[in-house]
Amino acid sequence: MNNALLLLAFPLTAVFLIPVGTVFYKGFGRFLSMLSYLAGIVYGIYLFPSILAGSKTVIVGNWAPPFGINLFISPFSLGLVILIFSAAFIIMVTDLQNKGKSGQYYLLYTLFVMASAGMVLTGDIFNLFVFLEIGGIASFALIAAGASPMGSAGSLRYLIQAQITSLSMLAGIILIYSASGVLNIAVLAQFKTFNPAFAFLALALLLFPFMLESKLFPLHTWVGGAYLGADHPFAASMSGIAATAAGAVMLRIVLTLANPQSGFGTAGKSIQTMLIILGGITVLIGEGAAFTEKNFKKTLGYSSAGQMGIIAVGIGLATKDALAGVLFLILNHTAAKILLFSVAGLFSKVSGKEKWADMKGIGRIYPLPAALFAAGAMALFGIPMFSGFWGKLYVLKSAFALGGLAYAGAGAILLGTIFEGIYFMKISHTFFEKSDISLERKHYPFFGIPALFLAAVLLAPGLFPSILGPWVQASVKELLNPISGYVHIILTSGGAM
Amino acid sequence: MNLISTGILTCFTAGLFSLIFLQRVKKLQWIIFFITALFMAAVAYRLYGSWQLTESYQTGIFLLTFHNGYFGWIFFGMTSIVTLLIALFSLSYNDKKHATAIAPLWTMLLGANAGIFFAADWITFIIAWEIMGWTSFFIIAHGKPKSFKAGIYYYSLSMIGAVTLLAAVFILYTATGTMNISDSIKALSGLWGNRDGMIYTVVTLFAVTFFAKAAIGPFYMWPAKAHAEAPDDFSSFLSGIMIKYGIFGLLITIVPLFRMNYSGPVVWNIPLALYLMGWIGALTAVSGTLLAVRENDMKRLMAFSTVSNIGFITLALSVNTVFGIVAAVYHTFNHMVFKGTIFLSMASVKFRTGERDMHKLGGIGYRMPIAFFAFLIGIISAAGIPPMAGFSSKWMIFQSLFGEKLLFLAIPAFLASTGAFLYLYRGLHSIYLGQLSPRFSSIKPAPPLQSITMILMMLSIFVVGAFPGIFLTPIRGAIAAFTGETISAGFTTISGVTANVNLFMVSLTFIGSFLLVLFLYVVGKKRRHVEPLDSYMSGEYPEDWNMIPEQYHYAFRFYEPFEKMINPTLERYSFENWFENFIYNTKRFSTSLGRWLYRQQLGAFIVITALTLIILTGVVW
Repeated sequence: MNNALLLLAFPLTAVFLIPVGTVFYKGFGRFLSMLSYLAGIVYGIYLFPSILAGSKTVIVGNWAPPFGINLFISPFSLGLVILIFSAAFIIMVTDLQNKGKSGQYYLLYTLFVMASAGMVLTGDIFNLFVFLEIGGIASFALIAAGASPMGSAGSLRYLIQAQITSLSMLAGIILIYSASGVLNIAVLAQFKTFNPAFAFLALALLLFPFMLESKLFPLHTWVGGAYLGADHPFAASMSGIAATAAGAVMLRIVLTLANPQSGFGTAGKSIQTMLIILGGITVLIGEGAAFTEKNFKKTLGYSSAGQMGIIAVGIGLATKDALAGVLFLILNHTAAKILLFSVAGLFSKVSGKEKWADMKGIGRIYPLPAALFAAGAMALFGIPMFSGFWGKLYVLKSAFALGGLAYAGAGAILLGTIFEGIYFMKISHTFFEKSDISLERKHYPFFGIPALFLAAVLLAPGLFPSILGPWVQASVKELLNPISGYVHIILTSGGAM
Repeated sequence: MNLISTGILTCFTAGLFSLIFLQRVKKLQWIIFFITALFMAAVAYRLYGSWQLTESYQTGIFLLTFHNGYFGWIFFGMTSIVTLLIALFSLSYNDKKHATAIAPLWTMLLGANAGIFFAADWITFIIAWEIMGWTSFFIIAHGKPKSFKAGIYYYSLSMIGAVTLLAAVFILYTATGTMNISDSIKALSGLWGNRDGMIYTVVTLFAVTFFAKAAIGPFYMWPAKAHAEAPDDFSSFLSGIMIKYGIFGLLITIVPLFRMNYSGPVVWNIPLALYLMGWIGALTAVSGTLLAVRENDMKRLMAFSTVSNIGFITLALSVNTVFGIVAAVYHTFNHMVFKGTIFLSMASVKFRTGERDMHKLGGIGYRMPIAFFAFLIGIISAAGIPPMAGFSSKWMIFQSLFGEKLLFLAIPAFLASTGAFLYLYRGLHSIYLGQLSPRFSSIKPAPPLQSITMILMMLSIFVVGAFPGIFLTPIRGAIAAFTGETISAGFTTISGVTANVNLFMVSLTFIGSFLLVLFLYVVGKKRRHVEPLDSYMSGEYPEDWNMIPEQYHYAFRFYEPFEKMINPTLERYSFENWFENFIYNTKRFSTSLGRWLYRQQLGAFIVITALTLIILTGVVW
């Protein structure tokens, strides 16, 4: 019964049962999807100690690699899957007071969560593509489900771009398959040498959709429309879940698939250089665009792009320190963005406004959410005592130690941080400004508890970074030693569950 | 016992506690703030002498270390005492009508204050520095739209400073391999001659951080905004204490770096970079003075005066002698006290009148004598006139310049020092002397607690003026511990290259002449009391000129001819305009980024272009 496939089976079962159950009880979709995430979290945490001792692989249907599909359960992937499920669960909790969403919404949402978790776990490129498509289509529908006039426009643009990029991934898969005949990451990671130009092309095509998901320049243009269109919970999911999954896949492709000993040879290094450059540009344009943006959701969306830029720079640096920083930043970004979006959702619900500049004085009526917003914002731009500080510190430390192009990346991160700090402080203070706003204070019990929990998640690793230590160390070790870890475990099947 | 970390933790816990639980009882928040300040002063007292005390915490990533060095302690001790006095003042200032919600954040700020002075490694320093940044931002902005503008201006400069600090620290760390502050600077100085380019980069980055905090050079404009718009009692803390973090930063980084192993170009025996810093300091002093002269807003006036004084301190630091460092630290402490006093006095006036524009005040001295005397003693000290403390430190700064024969730098310093008389007198005249406006004819004197604070601060200025050793002895000890050298000075005398001054005798002379005049006044003929309205009408009837009594007070455009003379120059070379243009253009750029680069219509096109480019790269390669 100790089968990690359950991690994907829980949400998938929920997806199949939701349409049936909704016929009898309208709230069934919400109930079952939350239950499936909770099951995923509990099972993930149950597995975690044994996985921390040694990574495992799950061979689906007893078809050994390279022929079958396998999942790779390691501290890194399992940790991020737990993060994704927890994010989904918390987003659902913050959304509890919002009644009136149909069963289909929860069906699609669970599909989206399942696809994101699957992308992190899978050990096969084609399987990755399938999950990507599922997630992409679900996102498209979910953005449109925001029921705002901008929703359908934003989602259509997102769909077009997502489809182009996933086609490019398909092209990359075809190229790799034609040259090697396998699509298993572990096998490819030690395959014979490809032509360097071919290797770069294939890798770049493969990475394209994930750069889109993580909003890297030049694939960032969908951010404004999609965030404007989506409702707050799904906007939070795009930042918190989709971007996390995309970051994990980028790490897997750049460090495991294209490791220096693999057939891709030096193409992996070129891709890393590309990520540093694109990440740096993304930080600048993301934070730059958020600097004067007045629409709340768009501001947070652009800021998310900036954060993913920092993560991309960290992936590009690919040193021990930088990867530790990336893991801190991923956790920080997920928790902080969910917190910020839930506050934004609450405030636009109670005030009926879309722009943060119109929410003057709302923090005097709702002090706790406004204070938590300030805390989340400070976590994002890296104020000490929050996990984001250590993340940024570690990426910067590594960048300054490497020198050369990394200086440019560090410069971009630092410059972006200035913008980020200024606009987040502006927003945080706006809530506390004296104004003649008069709102009746209502109680939102489903907001307070998850928001406080998120604040604690941001604060705990900030105060005691060592509590993340085992996970970070194990993950970094796994990512930096692909041959002795990942490849060895999968191909010898010694680590099969 | 881990005294330093206990103190810092207490500040944060008390601050958080009062932030979360005491929102409704503002008075209690202020009492907690006062108790915390008292506790920190007690911590400072207990820490004296235990110079070996080091406390470290393994966070899992970096080792956080506090070290109780004599040098950091003296700053901490001094700031704790002044903070305690300000806290006493705040207790009375924040009554029902004037209370702001800043007390919890201010309590936390006290923890950051200790962190900055006791940090032994850079990560601790950065943590304390950033906490200081955001807490002070929220305090300055304190929920008012106008203050918020000033606050975000301040915070923008703070962010720039924080970011350059991070960059400097990591370049330093990469080059030297240690995060310990003094070790890393020592190790960096070992690289003089080999990697000068890197060292100058680090120096420049540190300079931006600490210049931005201390409002030196191009950053002269933020105090006028932030000091003026901050809550009145906090202005005193901001101008007296917070601005000195920049000076402390310079003292632990740039100053020692150029004292060890330096082998680069020198000008008049001073490293070129420090000579430039000296000129930046001198120009800051001059421009601070000129800008202060023009101000009609009393808090802005004193903010520019602070800038001018910081210029003096920078000038003394750049001399690169132990004498100069002692003079700089001494003036830093004196400035802490006298500028604190001046701001507290003005806070008292604003407490009673609610006015900040000086032409609307006038004659307040008749109603608020203690505030008047506090201001008077404060500005005498600020102007550097003998019996007060400010004289000795200014004198030492000039002596340090003469000692190195830096006459060209001394000229602007003299100009600024003399110019200070202009604006200081303007403040005294416009607020406290002259015609009492009928609006304020029935205001009450400052409340007892405020008066007590001001009296204590006045007394300290007096006493230090007569016995400079009170400050100088510990400063000399601290500098000796810090640089390994010391200077000679007695308890009542200060000695420079040109002369030795016995300040006790000077004070006696002044007190004697004061007593003589008092004696003549008492024994002299009975004088007739003249109402101010009686005095400057020159036989005219003011009603003929359509004048109402309120307009008799001559304070508006006090130095108009002078202003006309200097305005064109100041406006042409204004970093403030430059910075505002910069912000304006950044905003435009940012808006166009949002509009243009995130234009969704372009999306698919960009995606396809990028795809084509990638494929082309692949094909052409």
